[in-house]
Amino acid sequence: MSKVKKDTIIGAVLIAFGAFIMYFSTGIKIIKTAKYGVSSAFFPIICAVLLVLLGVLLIIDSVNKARKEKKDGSELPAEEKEKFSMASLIRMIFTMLALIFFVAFLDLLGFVICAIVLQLAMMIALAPDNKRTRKDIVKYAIISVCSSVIIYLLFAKGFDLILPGGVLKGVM
Amino acid sequence: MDLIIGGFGSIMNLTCILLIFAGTAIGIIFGAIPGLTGTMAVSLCLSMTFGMAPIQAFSMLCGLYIGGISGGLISAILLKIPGTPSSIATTFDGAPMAARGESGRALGIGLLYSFLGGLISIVVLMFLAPVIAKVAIKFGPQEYFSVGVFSLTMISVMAGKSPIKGIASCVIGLFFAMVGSAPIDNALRFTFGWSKLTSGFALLPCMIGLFAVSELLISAKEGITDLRSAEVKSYRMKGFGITKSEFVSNIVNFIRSALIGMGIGILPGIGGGTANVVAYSVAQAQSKHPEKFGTGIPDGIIASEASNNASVGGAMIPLLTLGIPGDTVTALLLAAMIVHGLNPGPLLFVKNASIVYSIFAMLLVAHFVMLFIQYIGMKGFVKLLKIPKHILLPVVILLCAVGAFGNNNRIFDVGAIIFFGFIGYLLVKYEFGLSPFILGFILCSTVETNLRNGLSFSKGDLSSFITHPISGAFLAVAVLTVCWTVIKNIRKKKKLQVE
Repeated sequence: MSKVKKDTIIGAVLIAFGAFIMYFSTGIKIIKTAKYGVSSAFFPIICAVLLVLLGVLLIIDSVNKARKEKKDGSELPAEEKEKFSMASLIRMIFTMLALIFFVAFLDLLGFVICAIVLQLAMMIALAPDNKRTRKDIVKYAIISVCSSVIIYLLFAKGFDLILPGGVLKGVM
Repeated sequence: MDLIIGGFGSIMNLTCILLIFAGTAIGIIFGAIPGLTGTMAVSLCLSMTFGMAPIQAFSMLCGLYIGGISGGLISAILLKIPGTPSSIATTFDGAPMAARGESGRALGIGLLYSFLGGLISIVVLMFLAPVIAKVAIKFGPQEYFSVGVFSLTMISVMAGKSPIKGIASCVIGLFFAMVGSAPIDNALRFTFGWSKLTSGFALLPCMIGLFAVSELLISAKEGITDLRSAEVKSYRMKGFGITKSEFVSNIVNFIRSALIGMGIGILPGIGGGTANVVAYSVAQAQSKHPEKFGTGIPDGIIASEASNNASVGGAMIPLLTLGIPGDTVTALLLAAMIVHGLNPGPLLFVKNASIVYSIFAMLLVAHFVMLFIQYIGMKGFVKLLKIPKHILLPVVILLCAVGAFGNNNRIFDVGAIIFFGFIGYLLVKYEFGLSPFILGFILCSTVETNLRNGLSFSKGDLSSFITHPISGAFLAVAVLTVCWTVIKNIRKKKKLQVE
């Protein structure tokens, strides 16, 4: 996708976001605390208006750029090709899922188990292609277990931070 | 003077000195490894400071700040990759010097001028900040509102590639800060009936998400190159590698670069990352031999390294005197101050003067420590450059998650770092910039509360924001900045059309 097209879509997203804020700003309960001044809905409305204006400006700017591109018959300086491949998409999804798993099960499974899963998953996802052999994965697993236990003990015992114990509550 | 001596006295104990050493060393490691930054180092170590006394906590955090900004020169020179954005310009002359076998000299010069640049800025900070605080203590709602608007305008138009996206990023930051109870009347905003949103998003998880988790997602998208296969230039350090005549001929370059660093540091939200590139460009433009820049001359390294460390003193000025962070690390220091029950702003100089002067002393001592451990332990730091990032980054993220959790003992805050990490990733991907967002998030309450209080005190008279001289001046500069940016962009477009 060209930068011009991308900016047009971003502009439209900004307008939609502004409209979203505007819609929910109208529902803010007005509590009168002073005779003069503005309510709690004033600032969100200003932000909403600003976002809509900025979205419109971004679209106008990108349309002008597109026109100029057509008029000159030449494309604007070629954008750097995005390094977006199937592999990077999988890496991102894997990383996001690992993070979501960590938060979702932190209370139930406890810090140590969630931390081991999170670290192992991220290390495998982020490792360069030639660093995912069975030997490497065993190494990552050992590092994940050791670092998770050390961090837990360091914070729970050393800094008195109560981290969720989960199923290992009472064991550690 | 008594306060300054008192500041030094309070940190001259084994615990504080060890914490400064540890903080500086960790900071240097994070600064040196490309992809990890001083901001990340502060994010992850913040959780370790929760249980410490403020003096001890800030000893470590100040060390991290100085180490983080200084470590970048190692990889900039030896790997040809800047460790942090603060050392981008160091690569321009540092790498060519290393290529012709002068890497030890390049490291020595970079190290010396990082130290001198930082030193000069901390001394200026020590004398300038109390004066500014004395003026700021007289500020009313109008002045605070205008300083807030001025800060948001400056960062929005200066931080990113596009002023439109910069302002949008700032407004989005303002929006997320509005979630929860409103100031003054506690009206609920954008909570969608979810009780956990009632108290809003805390600053620390937001910062950790934006600066650490977003970096993880960017690394996941782009893939990590194995730095172990990168060629690390061999080096041999002997003294600081600069001759007396080179030192004398670069005095103007050094002072100018340090002043540029301080000036850019004072501007809200931007710091060493911008300062080093600007100082390098100015040094080249003012040089008698501009054509030699980029071929490996000390002048370029001096400009870059003096300015990035000088930005530290600059960035601390608005943080301590007004509660407005000068760069991303000071935004985290602001969060740390709140966690430790300190309220940055002019009253800090009255209520917690001892802490303020201790922070000055810590920053100064951290510069000496940085010089010492980088000079003595350079070999060790170079070895650490080879720790694989795909192993280091997950450990860093886990520590950041602990930091977010420890802030309020809420799993919700751990979820918030993922949410803000994704937002940060989108903002970086679509070139919105993170700094305007974070400043919008931090300053939302200041701007809104003071707008409402100002209107209430002036019986609804909007003109009071202009008629108060200091407030009016800040608003005028904000408007002029926007006008100047618009004119500059129109001129640029016209020039392109003519070409």
